[in-house]
Amino acid sequence: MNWQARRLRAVFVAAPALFMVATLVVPALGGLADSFDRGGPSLENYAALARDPMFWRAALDNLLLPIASLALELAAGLAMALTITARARRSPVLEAAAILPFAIPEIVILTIARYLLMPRGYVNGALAAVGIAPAAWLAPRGSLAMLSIVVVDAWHVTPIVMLMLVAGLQTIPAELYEAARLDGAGPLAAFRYVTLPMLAPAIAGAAILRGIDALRIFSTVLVLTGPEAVPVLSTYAYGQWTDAQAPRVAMAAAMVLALMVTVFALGGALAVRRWSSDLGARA
Amino acid sequence: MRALSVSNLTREFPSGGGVRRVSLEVAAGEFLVLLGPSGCGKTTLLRLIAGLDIPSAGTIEFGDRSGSGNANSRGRIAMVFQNLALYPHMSAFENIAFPLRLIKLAPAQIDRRVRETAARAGLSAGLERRPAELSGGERQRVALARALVRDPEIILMDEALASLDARLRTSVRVELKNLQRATRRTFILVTHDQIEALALADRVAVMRAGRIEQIGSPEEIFNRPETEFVAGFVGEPAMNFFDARIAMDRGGLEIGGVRIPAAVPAGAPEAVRVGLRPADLALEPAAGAASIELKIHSVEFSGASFIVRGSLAHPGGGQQSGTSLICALATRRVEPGETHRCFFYPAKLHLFDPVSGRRID
Amino acid sequence: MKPGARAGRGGGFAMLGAALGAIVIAAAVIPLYLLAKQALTPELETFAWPPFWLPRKITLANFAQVFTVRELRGAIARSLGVGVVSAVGATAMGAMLAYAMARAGAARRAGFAALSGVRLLPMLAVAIPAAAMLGAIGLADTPDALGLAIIHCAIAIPTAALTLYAAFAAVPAEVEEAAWLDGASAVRVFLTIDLPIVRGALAAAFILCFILSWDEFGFALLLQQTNRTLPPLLYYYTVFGNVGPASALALLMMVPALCVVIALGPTLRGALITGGSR
Repeated sequence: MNWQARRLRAVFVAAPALFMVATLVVPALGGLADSFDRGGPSLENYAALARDPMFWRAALDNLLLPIASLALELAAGLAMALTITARARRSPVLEAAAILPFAIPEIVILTIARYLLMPRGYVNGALAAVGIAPAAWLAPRGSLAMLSIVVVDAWHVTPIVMLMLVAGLQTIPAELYEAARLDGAGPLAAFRYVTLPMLAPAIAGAAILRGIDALRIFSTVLVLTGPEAVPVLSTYAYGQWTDAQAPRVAMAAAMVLALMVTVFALGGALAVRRWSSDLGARA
Repeated sequence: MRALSVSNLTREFPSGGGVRRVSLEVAAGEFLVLLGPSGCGKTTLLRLIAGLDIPSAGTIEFGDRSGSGNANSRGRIAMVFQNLALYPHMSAFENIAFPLRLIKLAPAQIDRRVRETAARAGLSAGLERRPAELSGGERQRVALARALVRDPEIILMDEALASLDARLRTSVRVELKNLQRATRRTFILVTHDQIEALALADRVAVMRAGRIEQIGSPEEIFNRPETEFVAGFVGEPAMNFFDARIAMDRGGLEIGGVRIPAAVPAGAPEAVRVGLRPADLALEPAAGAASIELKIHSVEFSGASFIVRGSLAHPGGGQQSGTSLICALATRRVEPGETHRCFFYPAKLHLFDPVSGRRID
Repeated sequence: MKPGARAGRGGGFAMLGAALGAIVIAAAVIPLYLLAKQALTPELETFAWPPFWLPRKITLANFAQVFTVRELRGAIARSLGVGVVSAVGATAMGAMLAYAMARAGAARRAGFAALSGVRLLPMLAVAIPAAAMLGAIGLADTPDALGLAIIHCAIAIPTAALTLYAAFAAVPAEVEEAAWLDGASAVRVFLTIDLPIVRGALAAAFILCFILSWDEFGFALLLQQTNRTLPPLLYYYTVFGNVGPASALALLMMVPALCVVIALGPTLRGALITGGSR
């Protein structure tokens, strides 16, 4: 409009940007510098990581857990999204129940999960009532504990995956289903040849957004099993910072995680872009 | 007294449109209408005058002082936008009061002036309602009152009547003209509606492709169009055009092989474009009139007359005349398929240079 | 035909859908019921084996404890304060960014990219150095938790900006131009025209940012090690076995979010999809 408005916009961009740089980016860069510092520039912090078998376990778990979480959340989210949209009439109770776990604070979810899964908790109580031997759901270094973590994480965040997929499902025109039906497609074929391809962009978007969060998994592991029972990179770094009093090693571990997240996010974004431009070229 | 002077104003856009080296003088108290098809640059010119856009070259001067579309001009100018741009979160009263609140007028004075101006714009009740609760006509009046309330020297209106339905547009048009007479302010209105332009304007500036084709009183624009474009754009039904040749003896024209006795201007080239308004082409013979034969294709009843369209019935007329259908007005019903002789006064012909498109006198 | 009619065709699909719906409702309701039961019964009942499925003795002692123990009361006040301060700041700065992005084409792409980039930062990579930096300026672990409020404000700005962007973009440029021609300065146009028009979105952004802060665990755990806010306090109570107060506290912590889900409903869902994931 005029120079005055332009100046205002510049200020409006600069002020929050400076604030965010000062509070988020500067610390992160400081942490990056710290991770290369041992009384002088050094790779020793990273070398210490490489020597620590716990770090390798954490890095491995930090791959396994997100993959398992994503798979479960996408499958459950898709099932829930289809259930909700396939109903002839909307059910407010079902919709509210489906979203509720996401509205509950994460720490409350984890608190409840602890009470459910502890050795003398409600899950084992229910199993005992039907004559099944209790299980050690949160026992350290067990694959059962990893399963528990995946399920609890999915319980909390599947609603957001479902919401994204519902939004995607609602963009599919009903005519496509009618056409598929006229072509003789049953429900399964319609799902395979109409729903899935049309929903692919929404699924990819949900996978990237959720994948980023899943890689950064921290509180679920910390609260359910403690920092070392099922180590991931965040809890490993937290342990290095609090218990081991090795903040620079902690920063090196955090930077490894930052690298993983960035590679995943950029790779995901690039893959989606290339893939959607392929689709565009074909159309 | 001069209200506004624009000289060599240029503002072009990468995507096309804009204005190129436009010059224009507007007298104080004048009602100027910028008329042209969409994309001709009329809205760009208005926004430059308002200071909403900055020219890449040229100057804009207000009254005696000089400004260049900057904030200095704001106090002298008010604008009514095409979509009215009312503040959706304010009542009609607050919309109108907004400019006064900005100059920190006393509340009692604001109240008095808002009610006065609203009444003058034809708005008496419903000032407490929000724009969404007002009718189209009321919204239009609120926008007008908001523009008038701080008594600006120049009021700019961008297609301001376009949002109204046809019947309301006619009555608001009359009110607007009366309002301009009463307030003696300078109005500059942008429109693509030539009927609106001719009805409202003291002067009309017809624009095309970023330039002013002709500027003059509505009568001048209609009766003596300076270019073929103006002649074709103004007038409804649109003017008929023929390709014609000047007769060898320069004592007349030949249209489709038919000789028309007419005065031929001295400098006219051998080939010319000839324009004739449908209203000047009648089925009834008149003394001293020339005539052409028309094979009728369609007839529409318009209330006051019948609008007849057809092609030249002379042998070879269709190819040579440079026009597909010719329009004439009839006072009685004729039928498609019939051939009729149509009469006109040669003095009513408009001659244009086929290359430059300019009028030949 | 609605896509919904598809399910009606095969009885198997209908049953599958009903079963899935039942699981979804059970997963939402049963854990909350058990939490409420623990909050309303004495701790002895919670430690019973086999567990009691129904409450035997109802008591409000756990809630009384929440409101009388100083540490707990302080945490509630601190969480509220951090939430309000950070949400006000994030909404204000998010509004500034969203406005600039909506009005200037150049700022739009860069803005979206930068806002997404911020979400990539792992919490620990920021929190550990930030703790040191806040310590250097005397803001680490203070009783008023100002340092945490600042960090929460920064991480909530993208959420606020993405929530507000569409609202600002929907204000026609002509309305601003009209106000400018009426004599308003650019700041005035923003304050008296744009902000009131988008007030609904501002409220939504504030609530989302407040809940973001109210729920946030990681930064709170690392930055407020002694003057704790609710999430880390609940963590310690849970881990160290204060079942009764922990359950009561957990129940109380859900109140703001539940109010919003019920009150805002569809609006919130839209906001969550576009900008809110955590």
